Amino acid sequence: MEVDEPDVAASRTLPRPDAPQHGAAASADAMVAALYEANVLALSRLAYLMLGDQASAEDVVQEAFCGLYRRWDRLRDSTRAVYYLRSSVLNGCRSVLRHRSSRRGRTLEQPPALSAEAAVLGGEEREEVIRAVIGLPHRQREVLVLRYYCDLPDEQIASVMRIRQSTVRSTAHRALEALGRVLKETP
Amino acid sequence: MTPLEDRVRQSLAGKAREFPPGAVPPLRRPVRRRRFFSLAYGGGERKEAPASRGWLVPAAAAVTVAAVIVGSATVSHVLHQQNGAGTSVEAAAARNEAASWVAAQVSRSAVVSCDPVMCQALASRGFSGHLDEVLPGVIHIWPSGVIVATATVRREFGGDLNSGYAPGIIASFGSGSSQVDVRVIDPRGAAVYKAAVSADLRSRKLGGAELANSSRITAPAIAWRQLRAGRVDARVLTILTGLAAAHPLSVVAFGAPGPGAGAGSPLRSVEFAWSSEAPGAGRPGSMRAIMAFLNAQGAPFRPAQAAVIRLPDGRAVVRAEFTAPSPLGLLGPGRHTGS
Repeated sequence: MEVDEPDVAASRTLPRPDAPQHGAAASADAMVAALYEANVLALSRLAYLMLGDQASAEDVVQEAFCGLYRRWDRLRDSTRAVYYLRSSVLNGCRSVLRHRSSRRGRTLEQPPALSAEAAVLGGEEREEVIRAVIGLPHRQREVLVLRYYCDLPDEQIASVMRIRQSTVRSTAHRALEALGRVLKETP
Repeated sequence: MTPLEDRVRQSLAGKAREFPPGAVPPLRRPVRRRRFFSLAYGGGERKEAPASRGWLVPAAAAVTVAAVIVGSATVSHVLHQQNGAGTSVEAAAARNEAASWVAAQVSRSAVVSCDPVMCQALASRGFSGHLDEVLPGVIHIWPSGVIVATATVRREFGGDLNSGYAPGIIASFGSGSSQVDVRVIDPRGAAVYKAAVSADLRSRKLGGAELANSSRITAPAIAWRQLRAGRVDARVLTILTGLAAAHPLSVVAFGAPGPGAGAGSPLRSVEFAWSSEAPGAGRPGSMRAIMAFLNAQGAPFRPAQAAVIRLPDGRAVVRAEFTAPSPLGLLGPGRHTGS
């Protein structure tokens, strides 16, 4: 797999916060800024995979960081900020997808369609897989993205999605089965 | 790891790289609320009160009265400031919504005029079209394209926008002084633009009625009405006509007018599939011919976005969406494009 700019892996090697625990605004500023620097690209890409459009992905990530900034004083363990951010981004994505569905008056699973240019540049095969992933129910899509893009173990996926590990496994299994049917491959 | 899992992993990684590192905007911090009073005592310890002195009581009373007067003035001032902050938050929200909409919907070939803040917001969202900065006090030459009318731009041009060169609103966000309109510019002036819009509507009505009467297309009643009323964009009518010549089509819906756009704004997107009478309809891959047709189109008939999507009832359809603003005069004589 190709690796380029700081990606999801970067989010697991966060600097430990060594700021004083008094919750001073300056320390929150610095910590949130450092977290933003280290994680914004990975989180934006996570949101982009869930939503399919860049502007919504950016908004969801900004909202997650604003939420972190507001709740910084109440964060019991600041080393878990990345988990908090990841959950917030996924919640934000769910909310955008719900809003899209209700605005269109029906449950449309798809985010804005892929551009024709992206289809040509990205390769038809890859787009076929992405279209199939986008066609999955939200929860299955989340599990696949967290497992195969973020490389999270099932335990962490369960924690981020607030479901049981067994549910993660069964959801992933169902998602792969569905993909296999669409793509005519053995899961 | 199975081959399928590997394929999913590689496809997701490849798709994620479509989000370029340079597209990440700077961190926006939430507005910090002011605290009027601090409830914490220094160190939490109280000192014993000193022995009573005669002058202390009147002095304390005077200080209290003064504090009340100063306090009420401060509260009033801060509340006033907060109202201002509320307005600026609304303005920022409308600006962000407008920037996202323009970046996603407006044609890359259109020149977009904007104030410096809006231009920066568009650039940060990866808008790759030409941005034309409107600078206060500088004589502006109207290019053909789109203007994002924020409060700053309205202050600069006043009524000239509506009655002069940018009479058509294609999308609108926010309200009051925070309102941001996305307008079409026609350097030939409002009268010529309005005449071109009327002529285009007539052509779209004729073209739509022709499609509605065709036995090659099936559609729900609302779509028939939209076709006959000329609500459907000329580019959508053209691709549907082209495809229907090959096989019968089933139109599901038209959509995508800009938020807050006038009722006359053409519908720039369509969801459709081969009709069940078409040979091979419903088979996997039957949409490839449609996608190939769409991708083979040149400007202005190539959709900005096109993909196969699945409806809640399980049907696979193609969704094609064209950029704003809708070009004028594509169907009739005296061709003129509004973009």
